[in-house]
Amino acid sequence: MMSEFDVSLYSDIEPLPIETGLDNELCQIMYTDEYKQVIGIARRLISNGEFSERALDLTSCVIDLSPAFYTIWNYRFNIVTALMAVSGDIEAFLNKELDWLDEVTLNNPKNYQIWSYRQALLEVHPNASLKRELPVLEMMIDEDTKNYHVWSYRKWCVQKFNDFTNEFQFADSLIEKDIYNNSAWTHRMFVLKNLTSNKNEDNWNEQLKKETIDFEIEYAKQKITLCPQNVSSWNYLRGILDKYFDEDYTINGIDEFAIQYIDNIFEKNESELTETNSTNLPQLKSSYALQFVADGYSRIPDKKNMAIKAYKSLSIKYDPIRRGLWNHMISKLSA
Amino acid sequence: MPSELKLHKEKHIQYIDSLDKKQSDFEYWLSEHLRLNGVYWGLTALSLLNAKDTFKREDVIKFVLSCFDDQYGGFAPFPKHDGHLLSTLSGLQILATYNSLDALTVIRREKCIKFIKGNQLPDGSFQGDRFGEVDTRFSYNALSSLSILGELSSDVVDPAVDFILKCYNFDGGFGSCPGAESHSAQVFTCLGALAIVNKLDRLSDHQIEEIGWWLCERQLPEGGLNGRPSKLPDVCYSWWVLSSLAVIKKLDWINYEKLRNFILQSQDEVKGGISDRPDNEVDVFHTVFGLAGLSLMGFDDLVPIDPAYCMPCSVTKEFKVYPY
Repeated sequence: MMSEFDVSLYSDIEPLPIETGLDNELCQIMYTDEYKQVIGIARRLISNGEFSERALDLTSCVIDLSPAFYTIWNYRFNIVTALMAVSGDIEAFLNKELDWLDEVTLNNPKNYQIWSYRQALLEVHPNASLKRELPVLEMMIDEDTKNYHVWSYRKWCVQKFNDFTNEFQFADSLIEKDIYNNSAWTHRMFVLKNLTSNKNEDNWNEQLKKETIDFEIEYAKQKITLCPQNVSSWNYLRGILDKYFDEDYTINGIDEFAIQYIDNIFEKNESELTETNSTNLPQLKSSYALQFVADGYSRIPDKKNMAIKAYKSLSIKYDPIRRGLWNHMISKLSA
Repeated sequence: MPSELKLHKEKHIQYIDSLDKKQSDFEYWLSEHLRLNGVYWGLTALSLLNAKDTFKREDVIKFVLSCFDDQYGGFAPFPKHDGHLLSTLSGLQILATYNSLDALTVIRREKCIKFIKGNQLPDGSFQGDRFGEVDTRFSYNALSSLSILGELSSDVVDPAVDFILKCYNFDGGFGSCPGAESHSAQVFTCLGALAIVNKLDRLSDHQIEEIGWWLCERQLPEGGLNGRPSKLPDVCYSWWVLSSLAVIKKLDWINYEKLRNFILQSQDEVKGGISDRPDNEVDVFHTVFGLAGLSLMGFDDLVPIDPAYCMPCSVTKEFKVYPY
């Protein structure tokens, strides 16, 4: 056990047993004696409203045994609130609590209550800093590169401290490790949107915004070139064009960039784009490129027929599992 | 190679029934913090299999009521735990499924409503409890709970919808809060919530198309659905993704046969139950969502399920439709 449990410190406490009050134990569980003892004492302390050091230690034990026991985290927060007020040095007290939390975090990578607890601590911390948060965030993402809660917490942190200086680079380091990491790509979009929003007061002028957006387009193209069949990089590119270029998928030759991955599909006749002929159609490097071009062209009246061809190819060969969707797009355009 | 795949209904009923008989599987879903949710999953699965009476109704209702948090209002996942929106919804869903919402006293009903509404924040979002965690899951829990109680109102709904829409992402999905990564479960909670309060028209046709694309892109070549791009398929997404598609009326964008095969291959033919993917350990969570997915697709003669509420249609058709 992580924390030493000295039951003699709680000898005055009569444990409150776990009881569902049911005869047929629909919801009973096989508890170990240690668990029963510790939980029994914890329940009594909660019911007595005790917010002491020994109560704090006890919650450490419970969390060690049962890290998802949500109510105990709530209780611990109440204890921390009470103790920090009388500690004489709130900052030091909370830093010690964060140290404890770091260790619990590393031992319980799948636990998501930890992150909302951490957020609550930071919100009462008189002198919180992003710098202090970065190491544990990096370690946790290193271990589980798509951990939803850690990425969410990271976003909350950078917004709270309004400090995006590390974020593009951080996202890039994860994309370098795994170009398919959708969490990293999402993070990149989050950063881009925040930096280019009108709310950003960090002396961002229009020129700087434009340069950043252009850079991100090149970044996406570069990663697509490395790995063309990657939904995350294509989504990122589309997201930028949707937001900053009014959904125009032909600006700056982007459609030509995408077309290099779709092997003259547009030169095929209607008669060649059938299921029976699908084995004669070429293998493509990227079905996402085909969809990208199709979507872009679907918005341009004199390119409608090319879009239909592209959707048809997707339906019969390049992404047949989603033929319901592709047929919908074809119907819409044919109307 | 398995013989022709079939749904082993009797085995699944036996599996769920065995969960209350102190088997070692037990601690799997019966950790206290999930207890009430677990009962809801089990009961819903049995309902889909037309075997609701496998659980003893009176015992379950008694247990649900023992989970009520009289101090703060709402249901806790287990007696003497803190009330939370997650377990509050489960408690209400179980009572509604048993047509026993009147088992709640007037005072408790009022406390429950107060608890739910009291957790709404100024930006329209909901925290799970006074501890402060915000997530669109809690928006869904709150709106569905109030809907079951027939207590929706525009002062709650309108800001809630505004917040949900802020969670719509560049790729067509929804996240747990604005800017968070799109995730199938969050898409379900956002769309389900909008459906329950009849505000799907806040989404444009174009957005609906994007959402539909994001959802059907979850289907992998073998037929299973994943929760996010480039992740492994998991049977529970048969529910989150499928119900979302059902809500926006694009169910046919998924290949049914392949998904059905994936779900059926994830069964344990010996002891019953369904797991997250073939050859893994089963649990009641994946059992209910696998069955729910099959029901939505109309397979295997299962009881019809409401995609927005994840409860039998026979129950949800009694709910008051908002706006009242």
